[in-house]
Formats: sequence, structure tokens, C-alpha cells
Amino acid sequence: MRCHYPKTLSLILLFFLGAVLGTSLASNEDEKVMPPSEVPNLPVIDDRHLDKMPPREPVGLDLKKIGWSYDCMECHRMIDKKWERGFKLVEHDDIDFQHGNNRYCFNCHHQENRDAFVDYDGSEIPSNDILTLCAKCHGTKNRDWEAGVHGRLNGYWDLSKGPQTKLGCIQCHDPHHPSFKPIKPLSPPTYPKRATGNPSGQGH
Amino acid sequence: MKNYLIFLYKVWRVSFQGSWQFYTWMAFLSILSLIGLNAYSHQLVDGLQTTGMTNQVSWGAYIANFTFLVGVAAAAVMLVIPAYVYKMHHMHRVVLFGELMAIAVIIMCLLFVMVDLGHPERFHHLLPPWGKLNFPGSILAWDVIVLNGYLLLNMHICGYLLYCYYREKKPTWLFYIPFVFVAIIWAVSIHTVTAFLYVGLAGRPYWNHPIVAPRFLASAFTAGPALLIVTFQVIRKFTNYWIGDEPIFTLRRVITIAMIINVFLLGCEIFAEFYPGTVHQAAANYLYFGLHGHNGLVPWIWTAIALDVIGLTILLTPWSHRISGLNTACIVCFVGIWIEKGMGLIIPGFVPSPLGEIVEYLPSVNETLVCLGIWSFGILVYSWMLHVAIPIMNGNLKKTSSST
Amino acid sequence: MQRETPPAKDIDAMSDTPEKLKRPKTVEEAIKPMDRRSFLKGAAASVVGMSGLVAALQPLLKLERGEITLDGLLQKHYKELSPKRMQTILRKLEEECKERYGVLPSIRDLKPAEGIGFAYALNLSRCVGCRKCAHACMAENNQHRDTPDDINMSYIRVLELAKGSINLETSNHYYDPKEVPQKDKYYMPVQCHQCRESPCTKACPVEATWQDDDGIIVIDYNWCIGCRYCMAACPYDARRFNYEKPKIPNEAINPNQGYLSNRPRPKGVVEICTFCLQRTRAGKYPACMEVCPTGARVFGNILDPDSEINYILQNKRVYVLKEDVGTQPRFYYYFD
Repeated sequence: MRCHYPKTLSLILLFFLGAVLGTSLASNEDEKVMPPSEVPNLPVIDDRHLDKMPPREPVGLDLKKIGWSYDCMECHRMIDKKWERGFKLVEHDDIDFQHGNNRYCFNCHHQENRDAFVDYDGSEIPSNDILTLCAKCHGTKNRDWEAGVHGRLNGYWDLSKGPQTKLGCIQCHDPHHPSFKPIKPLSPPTYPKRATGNPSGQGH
Repeated sequence: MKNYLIFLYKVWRVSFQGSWQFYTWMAFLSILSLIGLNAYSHQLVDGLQTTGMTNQVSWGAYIANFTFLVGVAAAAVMLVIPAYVYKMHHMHRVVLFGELMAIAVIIMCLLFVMVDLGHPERFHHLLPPWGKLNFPGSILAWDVIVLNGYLLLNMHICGYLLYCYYREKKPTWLFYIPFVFVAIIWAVSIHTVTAFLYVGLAGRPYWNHPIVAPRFLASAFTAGPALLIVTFQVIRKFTNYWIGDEPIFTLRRVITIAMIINVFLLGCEIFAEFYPGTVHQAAANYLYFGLHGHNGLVPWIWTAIALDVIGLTILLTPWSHRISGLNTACIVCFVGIWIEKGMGLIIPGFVPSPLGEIVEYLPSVNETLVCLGIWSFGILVYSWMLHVAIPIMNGNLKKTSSST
Repeated sequence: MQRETPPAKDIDAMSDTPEKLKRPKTVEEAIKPMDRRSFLKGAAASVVGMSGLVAALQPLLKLERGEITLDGLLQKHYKELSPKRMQTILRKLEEECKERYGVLPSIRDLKPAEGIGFAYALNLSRCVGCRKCAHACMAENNQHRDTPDDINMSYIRVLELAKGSINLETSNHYYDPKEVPQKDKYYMPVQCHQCRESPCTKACPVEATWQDDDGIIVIDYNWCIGCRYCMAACPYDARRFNYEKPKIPNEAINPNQGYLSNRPRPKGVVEICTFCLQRTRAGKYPACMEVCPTGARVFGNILDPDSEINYILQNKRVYVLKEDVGTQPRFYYYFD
């Protein structure tokens, strides 16, 4: 019989962490910008008016990412390491797993050490090194990311003037469902009020 | 100098002498001008939001009228060329009326540009050394130069000749003939440069067409002389200045030929727009047939084409040999070209927008009143100039005449 | 029914006039010493005329104080202002902003730096058409808005296009489905392309708009006469005109302002995207890039061979919008 204790625990912890992190993130959402020393009297540019939150951060799915030392092995040391195809997931049934042809948990997760990911040769990839994991398959994307043209850069383009942040893979993509979910677009422009011939059906 | 001041004083006095028809006419125009001025004051306070213009259609009735009127001003050469190049003596009796009309119309043009500005009080930014005129880069800078140059040329020619007539002296060849010939070239240039305002914009395929400039001239040489013919009829009816039929029929020939060329070029344009079926025909589609359910200009352009065709038909048939027929043809052509060049040329340049947005335009009430005001003011100026010039040309107002 | 012509001997313009039956009063008769009656008539007419003129000009009384000032009229072109004079102007503009919007901004006149040429790239494969960039532009650049959600003055227009072609004429600017991206559509944000061969700066009759050394096209709002020729010239519909005095809610004012970019504009002048020069010349990324949820936007210094933008030009297939117009934009679309 499987123990349901970890799931309950995780839920409680998640709740608390969500509350704590939610508040701390909200206050820290603005990155710390150093006024550059070369340019005197350059006021700090305040970006409160811009929504710079990484697309996935508020979701709080990636507990590792936000520093929670959640130990997967707490349960998994009790569960059989072997994994059979067709085994029905009971525990992680909240995962909407749609990662294309990448259909097996252990393509990414390490079979023995669930706190790590797995490399081609079966060696471990530390859980904080998402980049190396994703690069296993997404070589060209990884190359673009390294070059700074995949994913979003924030902050300073001129590194001599201030820091730059670069969003990691899972700050935008859900690893189990990496394609973007559709979103509601923000309000559109309108047919100019002074113009004649306002179309009944918008968008000519 | 003293003589000249006396001349000005006499002109001033004559300006306020006239029949009751004259007073009524001038009062009527003054009231309309003041209504326009009032509308413009509103615009000055509230900004151009009082117009129907938008970010998508950023030029409207003001620039449309401006463009049309530049043509009318340029058309004065259609009197000057027969008179001075072909030495048709009968044209000498009327040539000054054309030049006076050019002055009045250029004033209207400048007013139409002024009212279109968001910051008219910064007009001095155009005038070096205080300002920075982007010459020769900006075609608008060229336009400023040629329009004001044309105004000065015509003011000089008219002023000089009238003063000579007043003093009953023969005008000195050197003081006006060179200017007349410069003005001939200059007239063509004002309309060509104005056409280049549009032709030079590669981002607007509807305008970026070499045929625009020649078509501008052809339509101008129809509309301008048409207005002159109507003016001559008015002069014949209300003043004792004698104008024979010859100048009128010379102009009729000019109008007929210009109108044939205009309609021919219109056909060329329509062919080039529609036959290849490129994406660039969108504006023409919008103009002639409507686009995606927007068809605000369709009634206008077909009215214009109908008027053009009617006008041309009258001109080509013997009906135009009769004054009544000719007058009809003139008015019909004038209105037809006004629509065609105003609504038909300027607005479709903006529809669809370069990003494919279809925003329609019609002038607002306030904007229409401003246009009306400027037209009235222009006619007022022209009426006044004719009112002063005719006694001088008749020899009724001269230096030797008793004064005050 | 031709009228008979007079004997066409030597007709001079000033020659004799053929007799006409109806001969009105000649001018000789008309001009005579002014009598009391005509003087009174003239005076009455003048009074009527003057009062008409005054009545017509009545609306001018509503002209806001300080809208047209001698100082404003005498202000020189941006390029001719001394640094000291510029400081005075900046402080004055800050005061005006404080007075009108209740926010004391910091208005700076950031100059282009040596060795920097800005360029922008946008990944059409990534953009989902969410319009966050267009709204961030409003939040950053202090444009006029009728309602908090009004983005008609935004420098960015996001076009919805049918898959299978890049025909802007079929674009939809007003799309508002429940969610984006729609299956059969793709999205193309368009803003000022900061063209190297810019038709707008060429068109301006008073040099109120020009291209700075880092490639940014700017407008001196105190010099622009509002003729809107630049708007007609722009092939990307990038320019906006202040048809009215900008209305911005006080709390929406962005206090980080540039003299040539996002300071509150007077009415009657044109404005455009400056790649947020109040940010980018201070080393930061433009607002539209900071908020893009798909990372479709890449901005940088094209003169730096190691910059992201050069990586794109080297490694991606780039599409230049309306390349046939010859504008040579600093804005590139690309695919991956």
C-alpha cells in the first residue's frame, strides 16, 4: 500500500511556500539595478510600470527553481526503481504530459536518483542544471539561448552599465508541456472615433 | 513715392465704392470668411481633433483643396502663353485677370496649408536664418519656395502693370516681360512640385506614379481656364469692361484639349492600376469600387467621372460654341476635377494604410467651415482685386483723374 | 450666337472701351470728397465688420495660458541649443509636467554614444500576438489615451495575418479573440523601423525630425510644425499625431523621460517610436522587449560583432518588411 503522506505534505508546504514566496516575489519583482558609476547622476530607471514577470514564475510549479529543497527520494526510495510501460501514474496525475516524441519519464528524470536528471550515458545531471538537460535534445535552441536570441533578456543590453537577466528554459516552458498555452490578448486598438464608415464587424 | 501713396489711397477709396450688388456680394463673402475664421479659432484652441483626420488618414480636405488650387493658380499661364508667346492680341485684354486670379488662389493655397498645420505659430521655422528649411531634401520645402515665388512674381507683374496703366505710361519691357516668362515656367513648376509631394513617397503606391504630375497639369489646365471663363462672364455682366468672345473661345480650345488629355491619362492610370492585378491596386479598388465593405469614396469618384465625361462631351460638341453650353461645361469640369483631385487623389493615398488598415475619412463640420471660409476669402480677394483693377484698366482710375 | 467682336486693329489692354448701353457710374464720379452721410455709413460698416471679426475670434479666449509663449516661439532648434540653455528648458519642462500631471519627472537629454548603432529583430515564429508590447509602449512613452485601455497612440501595431502570405493588405488590427495565437493566423508587430534611408526625415520641411548617430530617428517636439508630411511618407504607418492635447492619467505618467522621446508632448506635433531612447541610451532594453512573454524580441548594438542582433543576421533567415521601398530598416523580422 502506498503512503499518501508525501502528497499531503507537499500540498501543505506548497501552500505555505506559495504564500511566502508570493509576497517576497512581489516585493522583489524589480531587479536590483546598480546605478552605473561611469555616468554620474544617472537616476535608476524604475520599471514598475512594466510587467517583467517571467511567463511561468507565478505559477509556482517548479519548486526546485524557487529554491525549495524538496526531496523526491523521500518517497521514491520506498518505491520500486523499475518502471514499466503502461504503469498508471497515480501520484503525479496533475502532470499534463505533452512533450512530443519525448514520452518517457526517464528520458529526463534519473531512474535511481529522482532528485537529479539523467544524461545520455546514465550519469546524473544536477537538478539545477536544467539547461544541460534540455540541451540533450534541443541543441539548436540551446545554441540560440547561449547566444541570447532564444528566450527573453531583461535589464541592460549594455553590460557596462548594469546587469542583465536571462530567463531559463523552464521559466517560460513547462517541461512536461513545453509548447505555450494560448493566452488572452490585451485590448485591441479601435477604429478611430473621428473617422467615418465605422465597420459594424470590427477588423475590416 | 508720393505718387504711389496717392495711388494706394485711390485704390483704397475705390475698394469701398460700388453698386448694391457689389456690397451684397462682398458682405456675403465676408460673413462666410468670418464663419471660417471662427471655425479655425475653434481648431486652434482644440487642436486638429476638430477635423475628420486620423493617424491613418493624416491629410484631408485642407490638403486636397490646396492641391486642387495650386492647379488653378498654375492655369493662369493658359492666358499668359497665348498672349505673350503666341502674341494673340485679344488675350492681352484679359491676361491680367488670370494673373490676379493666380494671386488670389495662391493666397488660398497658403491659407489651406496654414490651417493644416498643428503649429501654425511656428511658421517661422521654415524661414532661414531663424528657421531651418530642409532644402533641397524635402519636396515640401520646394513647394514653399515655388508657391511663394509664384505669388511674388504675379504680385509684381500685376502691381507693375496696373500702376503703369494708372499713370498712363507704357510699361517698360524690362520690368515685366522677363518676369512674365519666368512666371510661365514657374507656373508649371508649382504644379509639378506639388505633384512630386505625392509622387515622391515610395510607401504609397497609389501616388508613386509618374503619371500623377502630367495628369495634375492636364486637369489644372482644364479647371483653371474653366474658372476664368466663368469669371469673364461675370465681368461682362456686371462691369463695363469689355471682353470679346475671342479670349473665351481661345480658352475653350485650351480646356477641350486639356480635358481630352486629362481623361486619356485617367484611362492610362486606371489601366495601370487594374490590369496587372497587383496588391498595389487596393487603393484604386477602394476608390472606385470600395474595399472590404468600405466604400465612402465610391459615390464621389463616379460623380467626378460622370461630370468629367459630361463636360468633355459638351466641349466636343457644337453646344460649347454657345456661351450657355460653355458655361455649363466649365462648371461641370471644375466641380468634376475638384472632386477627382481632392477626394479622389489625396484620400485614397491613405486608404488602405501602409499596414493595410482601412480607415475612412470625411471632413468634419468644423473642417468644412474652415474650407468654406478660405474659399470665400479667396473669392473675396479676387473680387476686390477685380473691382480695383477694372477701373484702372478701363482708364477710369488714373493719375490725372481728380482725386479726393 | 457669338458676340460681335470690336475692330481688331491694335488692341492694347489699356485701349479704349467699346461703348456699352448700360454705363454705370464712373469711378471719377464715385470718388468724390467724402460727405457726412457716407462717412457715417462707412463708420457703421466698420463697426459691424470689426465686431464680426471679434466675434469670430472669440474662441481664442479659451486658448490655454502658456500654450503659445514668446519663449516657445524663440526657442532654437534642438541642435543649436547650448547645454546650459538645454538644462533650463529641461527644468522648465519638468515643472510643467509636475503642474499638469502631478508627477515630477526626470527629463534627460541623452546623446547617442560613439560606436553604437541600435537594431531590433523580431521573431515571427515566436510572436503570439498578445499585444503586451503595444501596451507596454503606452506605459513607457506617455502617449495620449482616451481610456486606460486605449492603445491607438501606441507606437506598436500588432497585425494578425492569415498563414500562407505576408500581404499586409489582408491584415487585421482589431482582432480580439478569446485566446491567441489562433490556429490559422500569425502575428506581426510593426513599429518604427528606424530606417537608414528614412523617408520621414527626408520629407520634413523644417528638419524637426532626423536620424541620430546611433540610428534612432527623433523628433524635436518644440520645432515640429505639425504638417504631417512625415506621416504621409512613412511606409510603416509608424508615426502618430497629437490631434489633441495628450490626456494621460496622473498615475500613468512614466517619470523617466527623454527630451527627444517620451516627455509629455504638446498638441499638434508628430511622435514616433525611438526604441525607448530614454532607456536604451542609458543601457537598458526597450519596454516592448522587457515584457515580451515569448522572447520574440531581440535588441542590441549592430556595430558590436558579438551582439545578439548580429548573431541573428548571421544565423537566421531575415525578412525586411517592404524592402522594395528602399528604406533599409534597422528593424528585422526573422524566423526559426
